[in-house]
Amino acid sequence: MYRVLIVEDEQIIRKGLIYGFNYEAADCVVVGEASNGQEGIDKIKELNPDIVITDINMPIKDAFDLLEETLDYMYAAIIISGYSEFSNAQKAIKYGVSEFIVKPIDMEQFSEALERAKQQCQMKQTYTYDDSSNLYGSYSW
Amino acid sequence: MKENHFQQRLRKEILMYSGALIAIISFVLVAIFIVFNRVSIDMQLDTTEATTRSLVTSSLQQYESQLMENRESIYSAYLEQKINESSIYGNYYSFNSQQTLKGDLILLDSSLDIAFATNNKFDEDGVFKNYIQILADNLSDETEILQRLYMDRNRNHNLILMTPLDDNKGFAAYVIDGKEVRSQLNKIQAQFIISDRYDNVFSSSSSQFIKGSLEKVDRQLFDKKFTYKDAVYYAKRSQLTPDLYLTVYQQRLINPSYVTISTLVVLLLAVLLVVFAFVFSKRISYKNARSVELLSQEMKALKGDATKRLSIQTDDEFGIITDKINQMLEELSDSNRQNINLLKESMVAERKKLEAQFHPHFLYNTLEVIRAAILFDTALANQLILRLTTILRYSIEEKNTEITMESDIDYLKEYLEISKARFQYFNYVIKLDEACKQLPVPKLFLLPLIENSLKYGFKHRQDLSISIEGEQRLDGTYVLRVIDNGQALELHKASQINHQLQRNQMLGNHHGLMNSKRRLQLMYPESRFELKVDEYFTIIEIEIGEKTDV
Repeated sequence: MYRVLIVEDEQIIRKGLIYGFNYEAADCVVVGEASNGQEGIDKIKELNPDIVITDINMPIKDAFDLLEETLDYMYAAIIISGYSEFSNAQKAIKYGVSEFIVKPIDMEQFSEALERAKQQCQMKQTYTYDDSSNLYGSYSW
Repeated sequence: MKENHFQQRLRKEILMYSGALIAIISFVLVAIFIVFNRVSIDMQLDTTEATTRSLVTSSLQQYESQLMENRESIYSAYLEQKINESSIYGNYYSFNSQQTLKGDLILLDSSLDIAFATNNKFDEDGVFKNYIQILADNLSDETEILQRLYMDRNRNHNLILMTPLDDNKGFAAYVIDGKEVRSQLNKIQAQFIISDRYDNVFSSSSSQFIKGSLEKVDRQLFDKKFTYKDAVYYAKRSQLTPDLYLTVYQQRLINPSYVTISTLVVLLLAVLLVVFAFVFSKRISYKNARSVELLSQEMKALKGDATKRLSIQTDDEFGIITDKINQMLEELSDSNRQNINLLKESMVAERKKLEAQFHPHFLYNTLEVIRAAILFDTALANQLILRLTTILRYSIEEKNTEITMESDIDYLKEYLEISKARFQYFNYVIKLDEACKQLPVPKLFLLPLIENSLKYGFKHRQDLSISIEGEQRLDGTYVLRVIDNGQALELHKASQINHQLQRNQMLGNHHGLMNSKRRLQLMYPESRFELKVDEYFTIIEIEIGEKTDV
């Protein structure tokens, strides 16, 4: 089971993200939620999730602050934005985020994004574990 | 005076050119006069000289050759008494009949007595005999021919051509009377004097310039040009033969009084021309300058009145200029009208563009909220859809162009209500007095300010609160305030933005503030916007309306 954290300041959207998708069927479980960037950072540090789904604009700290401050944590991120703005996408890619979803959310796209995030997560974890014992690393799927 | 410069310059120029023209005409007239006078006199003198010269020299040459031819033959033979008188006569007459100038032949024997003469007047003239003997004494044996002048008792002037015969046999001479020359040359009315180097006269066209008992030429009088008895004469002297000189002369054709009269006429003409030029230049310059002055006056009157046209009506170039200027004015006011229309259209376009700046972020987020609400709170979803529709319709519709603050705030409330549903800790307050509620405002002009408050306010706190206040002051102006507790702006940043706002400069990321201001100023050009911050609040203060006396 992949452990999912949801960071979204708007309560209704956050609820929609949590209860509007069958995570169990996708081999995932929502382990936590946060209503702003700072809370998100705290939860990441506390829960060490496999996948983080986050809004961009949030009170106190935004998604990029969150990514910056949790670079040491191995998770795959999915970014949800109000509008598709190229500069946001670019910034997100800089932090290794490839999954970018716009509001209102198409659940099929969300599902696909989650699948890719899972694969990315698996890859990262394999690489990291091997890296500790083997200098050159090796990929095993 | 500036207006008169043109007139003066025009006049000066006309006068200058007229003066030059008059001077040239006068000069040419005088020159023609002088040259004509001079040339005609010279021509006449030359003609007289040539005619006289050809007559006299050719005659004398024939006489001399006759003498040379016969002196060794029949003249000598006669003196030696080898032939008789009739032979000499025969020879003489046949020669003399061919001559234009008739002459008498005289033969002197060795004792210098007259042996033969074709005219007996010489026998009676003792003085002549003496004179001719003196000449004979002076003559050498050489075969030369002496030319001498002689005046007889009757004051006839004669030319003696004399030559010695060989072996002192005697002398032969021809005597030609000066009257012969005169009678020939009088036909062409030549004026001449033939004289020798001692001023003795052989022949002359008249007794003018001949004086004294010896009837010599008054040489002192003669010059190239001289005055004699109030008449001006031109003269020319040249050598005819080694002993004879020819003087031709000619009275000036034009009387001195004619010269005076002509000069006076030219002068009078010149004066008349000058006077004419003076008057003419004044009139022309006045007339033209008048047109220019009129034009400039009318041009002055045009200023500030776009509908006025020039009214000069002449059929000259000024009339054409007037027409052209009027045409130009017509085109100008046409394009001006077009410009005004374009400006109006662009203002409408700008207003529409500003109104359309409804932030799409709001739309997408709200739709996502609705999508999520459908899952667990359909009543909320329903309410949000209705609110969103209301505000969208209001912002898109064209008809609500004149609205009051009260109705506009009602639509703004829909937006705030949606925001309240989205952000659970968000709150807002609206406080307007009655006068303020009736104030006409541009549609949703406060929306950009609300959007700003939400955008920046939520960055620092989730329990954001917005307050919208409005009241009429005692001086009649209205003051509106949008206040939030977001504390998004530092003091120096706020004053910098406020500074730019007052100058209508582009505000970097703060389009909303500028947008709101421009929308309001399209309706209230005198309205003022001010951004203030204090420890807890960000305040946008808006003043609308003219101050009126209380």
